[in-house]
Amino acid sequence: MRSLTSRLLLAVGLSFIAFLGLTGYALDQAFQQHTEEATAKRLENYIYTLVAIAEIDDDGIRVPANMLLEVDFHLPNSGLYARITGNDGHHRWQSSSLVDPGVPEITNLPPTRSLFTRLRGRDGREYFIFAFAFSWDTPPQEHVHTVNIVEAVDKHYLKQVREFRRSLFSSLGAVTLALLLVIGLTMRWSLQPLRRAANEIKRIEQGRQDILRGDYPKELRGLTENINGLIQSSQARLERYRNSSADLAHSLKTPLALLQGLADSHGSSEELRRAVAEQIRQINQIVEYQLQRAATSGRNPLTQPVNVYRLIEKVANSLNKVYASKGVRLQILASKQLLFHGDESDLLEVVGNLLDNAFKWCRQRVLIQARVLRQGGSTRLQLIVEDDGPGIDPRLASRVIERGVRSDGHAGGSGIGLAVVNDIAQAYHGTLDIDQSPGLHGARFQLTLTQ
Amino acid sequence: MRALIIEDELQLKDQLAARLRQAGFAVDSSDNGEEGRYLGNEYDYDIAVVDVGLPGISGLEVIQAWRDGQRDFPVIILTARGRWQEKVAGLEAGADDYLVKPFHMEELLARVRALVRRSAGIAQPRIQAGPLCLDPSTQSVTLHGQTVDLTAFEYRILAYLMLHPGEVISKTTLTEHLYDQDFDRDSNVLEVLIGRLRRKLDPDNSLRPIETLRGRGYRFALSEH
Repeated sequence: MRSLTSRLLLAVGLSFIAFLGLTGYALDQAFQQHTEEATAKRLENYIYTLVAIAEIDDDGIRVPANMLLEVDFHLPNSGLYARITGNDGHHRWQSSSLVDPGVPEITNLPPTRSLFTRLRGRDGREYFIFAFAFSWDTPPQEHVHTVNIVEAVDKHYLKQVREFRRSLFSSLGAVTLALLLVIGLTMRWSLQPLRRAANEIKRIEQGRQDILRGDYPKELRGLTENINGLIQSSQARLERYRNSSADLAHSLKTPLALLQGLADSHGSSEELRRAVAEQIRQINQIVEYQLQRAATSGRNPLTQPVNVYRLIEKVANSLNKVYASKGVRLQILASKQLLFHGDESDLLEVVGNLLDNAFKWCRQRVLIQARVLRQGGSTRLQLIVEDDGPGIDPRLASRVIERGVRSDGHAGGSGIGLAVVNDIAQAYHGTLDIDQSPGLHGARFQLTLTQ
Repeated sequence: MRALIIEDELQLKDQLAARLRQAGFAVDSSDNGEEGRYLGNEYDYDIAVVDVGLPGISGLEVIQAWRDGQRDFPVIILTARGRWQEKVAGLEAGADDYLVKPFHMEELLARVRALVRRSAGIAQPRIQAGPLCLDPSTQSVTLHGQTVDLTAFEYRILAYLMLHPGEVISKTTLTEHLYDQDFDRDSNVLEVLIGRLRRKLDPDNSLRPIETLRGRGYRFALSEH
């Protein structure tokens, strides 16, 4: 089904048709029953009239025609017939309308008994019959006669029933159509927020708008907030890529200029070699750093959460291999259920760099703690890495996170690790603080990332 | 010691091979993962240097295949991508160390030596056994403090034996670890070399650093202290 409206219309339409069908059927049945009862009542009245005006004596039964007021009794084949039959089966009297012998009759009812029923006559037509047996005493014997009032079903009954049906179903049909129309219009009105959201997104794609700004109903708010989060994080990434490319281009100009100068210079080959090597080192570092920055994903509300403990263990296993000969003792203080709602490779990057740093500089012991901080409506992941190494001179603490600055001149690695950690902290609107570890007396790095 | 290099960038591969040979290794090299994996399965290397970004089958798959086949020699991976995701993936696949490109050749050499030592169970860089001292970083051997002048192959033999002190090393094994694939070997050469080595290390036959066990092989007999 390609449309919400047609789904709803189909569902409501079908159930309404079923409902109306049942109601119509029930009403139809009720009307039929009512009409039958009315017919029975009418025929019964004719019985009483006839019994009242019939003159019975030894010669037979006579019914004065001027006292039988119902016209149909006097018109041949009118559809309304009356007959009085004796208990010997002989017809003692019948109305002048009764000329067709195929009209059914009921005889031999016990006295004072009545019966109302519907029968098919020998001519194939259906008739209502009201039969009543009465007796009177004329000396010397008791006589029992059965009166039959017979009315053809198609005389009154069928017409009434058909008329009722016609008007019933036409009004039910009209109601259904009206309802479907109302539903269609209601759907259109209800789905209007979705149409509005679609329009806004088109405007965002065209660059005429930055995020969804409409006031949306409660049910859509979760969706629109997520969409806005997605838009903002992908725009932030785009921004970061743009900045990294621009920064890369600019910062490469200096070492390239220096190399150009060296190429034009006439210094000694040894000096030249050393200067070139240094510029190459700088360029490598810049490239590596900008690549890392561009690869940072940053905050993204729709990403799968990462198990922090398992990630720390993975990094620890790798570092234990690399520093196997050092025999570092690592302690991990974190809940095994702790989750980080951010990019996994960003978290790997910060944990990897901080732990690598700690392993490199420690004497024997490294401690890492991870926990969630909730303050002022925001949730943050806090990582604290401490080592028992020489620590960092507080005067150099802020410079260590600059690209390329190390607290000594060691070779190995590119020197951008802590700069990358700081960069990622900023991408997550967090902080990186460096001071001395109170417990282990080496360096302490405290990193927070907003989730 | 015998080393395997798998690197698809030919200039870098040749540079690495030359440097390791200079450092006293017998070197086999390959520019693709298929051949590299085969070599690692066939020969008992002391160290392998594997580039992660290979065409066709990746460096990590090669290492995984080796570990699945019980090939335990140490492996150091070279990766162009410095993200921790790649480092962790490499180490989880079975590598023992990693280096991010571009790197200094000396850094690679230091790490290679450290891995070789570590897998031999030796903690200190220099191997001391009695009056004999072997320094892999300078490829020099001293006896009672005096430098002993050895040829490349003599050094290799002594280095391998000293890295497996007390173990009986068969001629076949020793040959495997001395020569790269393409070398034209003559099995008698080994005996000649051992003889020459003994004469240089032990001119008056008092020290007996290298024992011959008939039918079994050779053993470095001096203990470390």
